[in-house]
Order: sequence, then C-alpha cells, then structure tokens
Amino acid sequence: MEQSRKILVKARKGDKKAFEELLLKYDKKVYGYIFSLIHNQETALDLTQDTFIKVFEKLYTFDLEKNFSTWLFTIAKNNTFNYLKKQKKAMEIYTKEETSITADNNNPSQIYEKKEEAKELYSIIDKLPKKYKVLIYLKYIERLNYDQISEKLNIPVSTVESRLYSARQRLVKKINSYKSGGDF
Amino acid sequence: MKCYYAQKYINLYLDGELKSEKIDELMEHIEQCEECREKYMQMNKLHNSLERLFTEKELPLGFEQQLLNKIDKEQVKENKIWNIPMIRNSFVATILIGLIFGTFLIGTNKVPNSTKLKTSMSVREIRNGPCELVNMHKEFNSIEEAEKAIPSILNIKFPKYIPNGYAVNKVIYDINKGKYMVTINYINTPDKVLTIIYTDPAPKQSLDIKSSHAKISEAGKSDGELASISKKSSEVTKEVKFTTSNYDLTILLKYNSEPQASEINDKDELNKIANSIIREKNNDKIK
Repeated sequence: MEQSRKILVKARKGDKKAFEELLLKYDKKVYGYIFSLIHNQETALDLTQDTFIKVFEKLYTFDLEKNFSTWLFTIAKNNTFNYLKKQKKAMEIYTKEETSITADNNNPSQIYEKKEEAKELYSIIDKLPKKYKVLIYLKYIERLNYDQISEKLNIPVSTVESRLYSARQRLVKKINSYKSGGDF
Repeated sequence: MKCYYAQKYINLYLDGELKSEKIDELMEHIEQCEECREKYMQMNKLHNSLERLFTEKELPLGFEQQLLNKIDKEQVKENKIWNIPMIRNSFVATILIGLIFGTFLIGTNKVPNSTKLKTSMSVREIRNGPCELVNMHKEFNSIEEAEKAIPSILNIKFPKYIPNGYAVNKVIYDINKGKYMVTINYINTPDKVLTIIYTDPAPKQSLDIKSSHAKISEAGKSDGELASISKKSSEVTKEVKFTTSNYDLTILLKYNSEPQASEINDKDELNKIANSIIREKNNDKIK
C-alpha cells in the first residue's frame, strides 16, 4: 500500500500519530491558501486551526478512493467562504486590519484585488470537472510530477499531460470570461 | 516549430517536464509567433496565480502542538458528555458476532456441562478514551476483577449476560494510542468460536462488513429475526445484520468447513445473544 494511503487509513481510524503526519504535510499549504483569500494573519491562523479540527472530526467519513487534498481543501474553502459570508462588511474591515496587522507592504486596494483574484480563481477551479480539478490539486498542492500523478491516478502520462493542458485551457477561458484581460 | 506543438510544449515547460533541447526551440518560436506568445503569457500568468494560491506559508512556531492539544481537549470534553448515561446510551452500537464452528458440532443444541467447557467467545468494546499517552495491556480472570482494576473514569460497561454453556475465561484490557479495548473471552468447546464486537461511538467505517439488513420493530422488545445469511465460498462465511432504532448489530458467522447441520439453531443462538445485548443497553438507558 502506498505510504500516504497507509497514513490516511490509520488517521481515519483515529490514530493521532498518523493525523499529526497529515497535519505536518498539509498545514502550511492550507494556511497559505487561506491567507491568500483572507490576507489577515490572525484570521487565517484561526481558520487553518478550525479546518484541521473539522478534518480530524470528519476524517472517518473520508472515502479512501477519493483524493485527500481535494477533500481537505474543500473543507478549507467552505470554512473560509462561510467566514467571509458572515462578515457583512468584511472587505472594509479586513482592509483596515491588514494595514495594521500584516506586514504586507501592498496598499489596501492592492490587497483587496489580490484577495478577489484568489477567490475568483478558486471558485473557477472548484467548478472544473472532477477529472481536471484533481489534476490541478495534484500538481499545485501535492507538487507531483507527471510520472507520480500517472501512478497515483493509474492513468497514462500522456493522459496526465493532455488533461492538465485541457484544465488550463478551461481555466484561462473562464478567467477571460470573468474579466477581459484581468491580471490572473 | 508548428503552433500545435508550441502550445503543447508551453504546458510541459510550465510543469518542468519539457526536455532542455526543446526549451530553446519553444522560446525561439514564441519570439516569432504572436499568437503563441499571447498563449504563453496567459498560461504563465495562470500558472503563477495557481502557484501563489497554493503556496505554503510558514506557520508560527508551536502551531501544530497547539492544534493537537486543542483536539485532545475537545476529545476529553466529548468523552465527558459521552459518560452521561442518557447520552451515552443513545449511541449507535455496532455489534459483530463471529462464530466459528467445527463441522462435527454444527447443529448441536445441547448446553454443554461444565466438564465440556471448550468453545471460546470474545466480547470487545472499543471506544476513544481520554488516556491519550498511556499504552497498557492487562489480563484478568473475571469481569469483576477487571472492573475493579480499570479506572472508573473510563466508565466501561461490560456485557453482563453470559450465553448458556459459556464461561468467562479471561478479560483482556488494552489502551493503545488513545483507544481502549476490552476483550472478554468465553469458553465452551474448542471448535466453536463466537466473537461479539460492539463499538461506541460507532466508527462504523472501520468495520468493513457488507451484509443484508433486518429490522427489529422495537429495540429490546422484539426477538427480531436475522437477515438472510450469505455464504462466501472460500471462507464459508455467513453475514447477518440487525438494524434497530438504536443499534446496528452485525453478526458474522465463520465456519472452518461447509456447515452440514441445520442453520436454525445458529440463528436462534445469535438472535438471543443479539437481543440480550440490546436489552442490556436499553436497561442502561432506563437507569
């Protein structure tokens, strides 16, 4: 059995050590992702923590045949988007906070644009057909090369290549339809 | 280079999969071809955005430990709530009963006398416990002895009934990686093995059992009926599952060879055991 799958199997049964391994593998990625949507260090840390607590609680429901990072980032996304929805004037508040809390040298409007871009991009990825979405996750979150993806999904390398190509084509097309000439 | 290949190569180049000799070719083409240059710019922007979106960000020192501590605290809290009888008894218990019979005993419905105590039966209870860091393995000669020795905080309820003809052999108590398990071993005859496992709260996924279902109209009152018994040719396995309003009860029978005698006796025996557990759990609830 593949090592990462073994860890997942154990963690799913409540093994804390295995869960810790998952945490160490993914927490910086999840934090980076949430930060790109929030641009507030304190809030992003809280949401990262909440995400992993939810993951720990729900891990027993995870289908081992599915891709873990897709599942994990869906929880992170839902958590973050729910948080954003709850904040009626979130953007203004965040913008004020950012100038005081974060060490981000960009001005508030730049930060706002970045956050909006990240949100839009993630929404677009989320709407991709599953077979393309998995490829994007394995490439950009798991950082796997074509051979590794091919092995993991049990598909030929040529299919990995063509699907990633199609996934990007679709993303570019969607982005262009969202805003003409946007800075994605 | 044709544009078709150039666009294919752009993809490979961004993924670091393009061979070095092709990179020069691609760059040369991009310089000359406006359409491919535009394509490259778009793909490169997208690639950078994706990289940014999923870039790892350094976490403050101690973040992981803090998070794990928080999870531990949450678990202890849950266990405290779990220990309130009314709540504890509203769980869904999953019971797995495995019976392994020797062919010569199949169909034997006689209650063996004390000199024939040879069959074994195990009852297990697995639950998340608050003892996260302690690993322990202890064996006792009786349930009473185990109950005295096991910390009361764990609030383990042993099944009190003992099926006819069985006697307690030993009680094994384990804590391992935050989970504790109690195994009660009963003896009857050497070739007939009955295992009952019930888990609460039920991580049902860990019990990889596929079986048919049977409804018991009211938990604890009806004797219920076992669902149809299926056989797997290799292991001669019978699987049965009860579903009640409060409990899932899965019963697994294993024969070491093709059973020859009537299955009715097995059904009756399992039925009684299953309903004894349900009744016992319901009594806990009433208390």
